[in-house]
Amino acid sequence: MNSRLALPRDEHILQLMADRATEGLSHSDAMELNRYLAHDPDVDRDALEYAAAAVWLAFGAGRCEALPPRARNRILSQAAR
Amino acid sequence: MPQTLLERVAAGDVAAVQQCIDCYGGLIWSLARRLVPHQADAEDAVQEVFIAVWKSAERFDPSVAEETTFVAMIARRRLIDRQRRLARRIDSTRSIPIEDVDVASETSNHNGVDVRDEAARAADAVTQLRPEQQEALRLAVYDGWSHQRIADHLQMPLGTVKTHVRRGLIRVRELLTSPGAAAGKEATS
Repeated sequence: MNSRLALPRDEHILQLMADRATEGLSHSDAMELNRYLAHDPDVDRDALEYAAAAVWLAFGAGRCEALPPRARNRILSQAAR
Repeated sequence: MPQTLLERVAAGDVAAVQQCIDCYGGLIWSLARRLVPHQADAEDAVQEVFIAVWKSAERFDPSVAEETTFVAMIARRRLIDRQRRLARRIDSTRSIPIEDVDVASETSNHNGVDVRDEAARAADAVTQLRPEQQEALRLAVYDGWSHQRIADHLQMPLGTVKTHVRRGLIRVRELLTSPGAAAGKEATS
């Protein structure tokens, strides 16, 4: 979360950012948000996705399961390529 | 000289890649298991997420977010996009009560990357939200429910749920970026 940058003032754009951070966007909504963000470089475009990640950590970080060995080995193999 | 794990990954440090898996594997796996119903799909998803994390490593800026939050953000973005791509709606039936937000005492140290401080700061921010915002965010973010499902469950208009989610996320951002917010993080820039 970059406090040097601002959030949009437009509630509709903020809602699109919140939707993107929680349940994702349709193609048309994503295009609309991207158009807006492309024209305003002073907007903290990832702000609400960072906030959602922090919320997930608040609820879920204490319940982390270990990565299964099979999955770990697959990722290591991928990384080695 | 790069210092954080992701900065080392971005610099091409091969050992850092394995450390990244060891440090964040549990976190990313747990995220995937909440959002992807089937184990085999979740394993595929975790692999995709790690590739995305490595590709994004050079964009990591420690002055903007803690490394764990950055990794969780990239992971969530990738998992949500993946689920939408597969046209499967998240339908988790697992849920936890709000009082379980207290995570600091349970959170383990992920092989040197201590997520406890970040989780505790985030939990502190979440507990300052209005109860209806906490509930909406728990269901939307942790349980991965759609806004419509939350509206049906809480018997609220869809627009009200969206407002709680939006205002809750904005408030969390405010709390986490305010100068006095983060004990242990000197300058949240």
